[in-house]
Parts: sequence; C-alpha cells; structure tokens
Amino acid sequence: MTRKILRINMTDLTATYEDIPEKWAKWAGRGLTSAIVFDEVDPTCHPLGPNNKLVIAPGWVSGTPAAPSNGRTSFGGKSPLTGTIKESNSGGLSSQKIAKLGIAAIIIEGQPKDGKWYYLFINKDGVKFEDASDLLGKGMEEVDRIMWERYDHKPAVIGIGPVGEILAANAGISVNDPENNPGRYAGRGGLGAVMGARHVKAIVVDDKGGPGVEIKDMALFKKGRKKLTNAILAHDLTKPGGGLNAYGTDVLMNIINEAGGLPTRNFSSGQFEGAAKISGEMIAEMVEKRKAGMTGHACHPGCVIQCSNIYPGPDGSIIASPIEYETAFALGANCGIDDLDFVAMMTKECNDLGLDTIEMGNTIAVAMDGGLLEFGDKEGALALFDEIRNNTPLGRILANGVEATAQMFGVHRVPTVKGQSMPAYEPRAIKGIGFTYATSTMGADHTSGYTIAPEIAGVGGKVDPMTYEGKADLSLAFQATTAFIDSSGYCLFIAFPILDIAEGFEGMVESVAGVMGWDLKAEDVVELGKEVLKMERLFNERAGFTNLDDRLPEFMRYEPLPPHNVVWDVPDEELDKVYAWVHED
Amino acid sequence: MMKIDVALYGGVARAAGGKFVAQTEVELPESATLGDLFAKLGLAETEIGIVFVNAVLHNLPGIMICTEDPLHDGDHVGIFAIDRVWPYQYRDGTQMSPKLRAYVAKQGYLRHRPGQ
Repeated sequence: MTRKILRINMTDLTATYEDIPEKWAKWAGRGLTSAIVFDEVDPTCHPLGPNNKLVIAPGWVSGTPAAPSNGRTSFGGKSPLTGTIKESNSGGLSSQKIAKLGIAAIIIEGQPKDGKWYYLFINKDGVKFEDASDLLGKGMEEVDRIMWERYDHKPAVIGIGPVGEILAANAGISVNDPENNPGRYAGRGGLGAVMGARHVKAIVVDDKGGPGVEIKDMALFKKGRKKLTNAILAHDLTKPGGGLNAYGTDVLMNIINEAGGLPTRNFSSGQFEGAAKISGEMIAEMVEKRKAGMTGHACHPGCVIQCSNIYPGPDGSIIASPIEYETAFALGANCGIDDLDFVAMMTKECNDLGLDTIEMGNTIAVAMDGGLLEFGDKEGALALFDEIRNNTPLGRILANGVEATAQMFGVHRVPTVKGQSMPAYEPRAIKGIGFTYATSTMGADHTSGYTIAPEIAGVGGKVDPMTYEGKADLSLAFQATTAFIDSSGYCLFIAFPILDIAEGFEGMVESVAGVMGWDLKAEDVVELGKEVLKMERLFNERAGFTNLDDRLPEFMRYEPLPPHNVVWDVPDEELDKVYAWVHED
Repeated sequence: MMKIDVALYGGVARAAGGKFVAQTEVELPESATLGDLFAKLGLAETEIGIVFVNAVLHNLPGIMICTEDPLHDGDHVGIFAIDRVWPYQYRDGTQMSPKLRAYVAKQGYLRHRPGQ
C-alpha cells in the first residue's frame, strides 16, 4: 500500500488518485504542501484566481499508532494576505483521518463552471461532491454540528466560515476538535479564502475502513515513539501538570509582560497593566471558580501534552475553546482589553466566522489606533464582529486584516512583515524573534523559528544573547528545524522536550525514519528543513519578493517602546545573512 | 524602610494568599536584596524560577544567582514558579541583569534551564 495524491478538480468535478511522483515521495506535511505549490502554482498568479491551489497534507507520522501529539494537518497555497507561499497548520481531527485513508496530500484546483458551492465527502470509497447551498452563510459551529448529524463515525470537518465565502484575506481554515468545536485553525495567511475561491465550503473526512498508514520499519518506529513520549512526559513544560498542561500557552502572558515585551495598544507599549487578568493563570482560576470548562484539553486524539482549554462563562456555559496566548494578546492586550470573558466571546466569533484570531485582534487594534474605537472599548470591539457577520463595508475591510484596515484608517503604525501581522512578542524588546519575523518565508510568524539543541544547530549553545554575532545562522537552524517538525505531523510543542532531552530528539528522528524506512540522522533534520525553506524562498522570489521585504516595519526603527524605550536596531545586513545560502551551491 | 511591589505567578502565589496569581506590597529595610524578599515571603529558592526586577530578567529556572541582587524603594519584582515556560526563541534578546548575562554567556542560553 503506497500513499496517493488525491487531486480534486473543481472545474469538472472529478477526483483522481495519483501515484506520488518520485520528486515528492520523501515529503509530507509542510514539506509536501510547499513542494506541490512550488511545482504546480505560478508564483505570479492571483491567490484568489483560477490558478492557485489549496494543498492539504498530513505529516510523516500522522495516523500512526500512538505516536505522541501527532495531530497537525498542513494547508498550503499562495497566500492572499501576504502574496507569498503559505503553510499554515492546525490540530483537530483531520490529519490522522486523511493519513489513514492512505492519502499523502489533497490538491484542490480549479473553480466550478456553474458557480455553485460544494462540500466534499471523502471516505474509503472515494470522493463525493455535494451541494453546499444550504450551508452558505453559516458559521463553523453550525457547519460542524450539521456534518456530525449528517455523517456517522464522528468525521473530521475542515471548513470555512462566512469570511472564507467572501474571500477575505484573513479567512482561516477550521478543523473540528474531538468535541466537534471549530476552534482548531490553520488560521494564518488567508488560506480560507483560497478554499473559498475553489467554492469548497467544507471537506468531511471519514477514515472508517481505510487502509491505515504503512510503517516500513515498525521496530524502529516503536523505539522512537517510546523515547519521544518519555521525553514529553518528563519535561517541565510538557509533562502532565506542567506549565503548558496546567495553564495552556497563555502561561506566557505574565512572563512576556514582566519582560516588557507584550505588544500593547497596537504595539505602542511593551507592558499591559491588565495582563494578569487575561493570563493562563486567570483561565485556570475561572475554570475552578465557575466549576465548568477545563484546562488540560487535548485538541486531537492522542495528544499527551494537552495544552488546550475550554473557557466557561459566568453562568457555567461554554464560551469558546481554546483561549491561546496569541488570542489573549491580540484580542486583549493589543486592544487594551483586560476582560477575559470578552476575549473569549471575540474568540468564539472568530472561530465561528472563520477568522484568524491574531490577525483579527491586531486589526481591531489598528482600527482603534485610527480612531474607530477607544482602546479598551470591549463592547465596541465585540460589536465589530456583527459588522463582519452582516457583511457591511466596514466588516469587509476588517475581515481583510491589518494592512487593509490600516490603509482605510490612515494608520502608520502597521505591525506587519510581508503583509502578515505580528504575534505576541515585541521584537524591539525581544530582538531574537525579530530575525524570524523579518526573514520567515511566511511573513511575521512566531511558529516558524523553534529552538533546536545547540550541538545540532552547530552553535555550541553559548550564543551571547546581547550581540548579533551568529544570530543569522541560529535563526536559519531554527527555521529549518521547524520546517522539519511541520512536515512530521507532530505538534511543534514537542520542540521543547527534544531540545532539552537528547533521547527525545532521537526518538522524533527514529519515529519518522521508521515510518519512511529511512536511515535518518540527527544532522539530516536541518538539511531536510533547508530543502523546504529553499523551495519556499524561491517561490517568493519568483513572486517578486526580495531581501528588502525581509524588514520589520519602519515605525519600530524610530518609536521607542516603553518600558525599556528601545527601538529595532538590528542592521539590515545581519538579516540578509539568514537566506544568503539559497543561491550558493 | 523600602516598599517593593511584588507579583507572584504559579504556586508561589500562595505567599500572598493567591492560588494562581497574586500581588502584594512588601516592606524591607534599606539595602535589602532579592534573597531577603524571598525569605520574607517564605519562599524556598527551589520553587523559584524566572525573576524580573523592573522588567529586567534576573533569574532563570534551574539556577539561583539573584539572591544578592540589591533592591530599591519602589521596585517592581515579578516572581514565577519554577515550572514556568519561557522558550529561548521568545526570550532571545531580552534585557538581563549583568550577573545573569555573564552567567548565560558562559553556560549557554538556548535550553530551558541554562547549563543543561
């Protein structure tokens, strides 16, 4: 049994299962979505036009038995938000089910001649194209519910909300979680609009009776799986009851705020006086006080980290899942809002309408900076989602993200790189992250540069944190490692234990090698990651991007950020070193 | 006497009557240090991880090198329980006390616990 490429042509409504060509055979996850986009999508095409494609791929270990925290699905295409190549990945139910059907990637191309909307049902017997006219205008909460009523076996539901239907540049792709909530998102970069441009409202995946995932060397896979699981369960950050499990990713809120690096009121300050009220500690307190919801929630079956949460309202009813650090920063601190219930209500709106929470929160912040609302106006901020739901002109502007909104409101403080707005780490105060924001092939992205063990990164572990010496090489090693992990199907958070516990890193490598039948060494991780980055970088170059796009926004160079009153002062030539190797032999 | 504004996060919050997060004001004699503050709060060094003074990082989990660092009237101190997360990529380039900076330059800084 070999993996197949499932090619879905929306123009003539056909689905074909193709043998995976040799040039793509080694790839999965992000490596595969980027390889397919690199080979098949014209970098100069319009992202919403007929020549862009949406590619969906589970990772190397997706769907294998008991590989820990393997729940990521990669989505790729040319981004309407950035104009670059884009890979955005999500937790939820989809990756394991797609993989168990023997599918390496789903390529969705073309546009229906009749202009109708469809949803796709995929199972062991093939693909059905179903009329989606009764789903149009519906939010993802309702779409998920309808699909579980319509189909047995609790299928994965990949879908777009109303903002994906209007092809807005901040439309994400939702994946349902084990409770069938729409909180898992391939949020960044507007790939929901790429799906909408194919007139696909949803993709339902039922793996019942599927062939499963072939594991070429079961003994090696099992050996690696055990080592990786043990490392996750032993590490301070990822073990049961550890920081992530107990408080979620929002455990970072108070730390980053204390450090003066929490972007606040549209990136005008590095500290927010209300940070503790929207922190992971406060989420845990609310769950306890309201005797409802939960921390330590798994976003996909088999996750051993369980960093998600379900946030309860004052009456014990569930408002939203999950409240992430990025969500609480963007919809909270960056808008000057210190009320977790309002952060949760806005998160619910984002999850239902199909919006990326980071971009949406930053969009509201920019609009506040432009005078639409006062910073801290939580009722006003929440009401903006009605504008989007009602598809008003203001709503359409907001649904297109930070840069569109900044232009409409005459704001010069625009915290974006390559069109994508920054996550929750202020690069003036936390300068290392600025290297990644500036040079990532994805635009400003906090998940594109995760740490790797110093002996593998080749930096000896003694990088002086206060100089730029070696930082370019380090950033490249991080970005390459991340590209590898994003290809594996593993959650990026396994990066924490595999950094500190050598056996955990070996375990990750061995589990991938076991599935693929490879002789894979630790040092191959960075090299394979670099191959992915090279494809992405070359796609962007052919789309018209140069090193001048690898820059942080101008205001960060002259507006000092309190409390440290620092500006972004990393020399451009240091940033240019990160990808200087792409055109070298 | 000096007044120190203290924020406590995680298990250490119990020192000010909290479970998850707490804030308190502590009076200490002139020339008191962070170690004196920990003692006054009844916190063991083994349960303390990240420590900030006025947004400058003074300590990381797995080491305890800040106890001699002096405090000044009106300082804000943030103390995190030892299990708190701060991955390298999200702290690279933040401001540190001279003592911590010298330590990590020698012991390495990439790992969650320096020197690991």
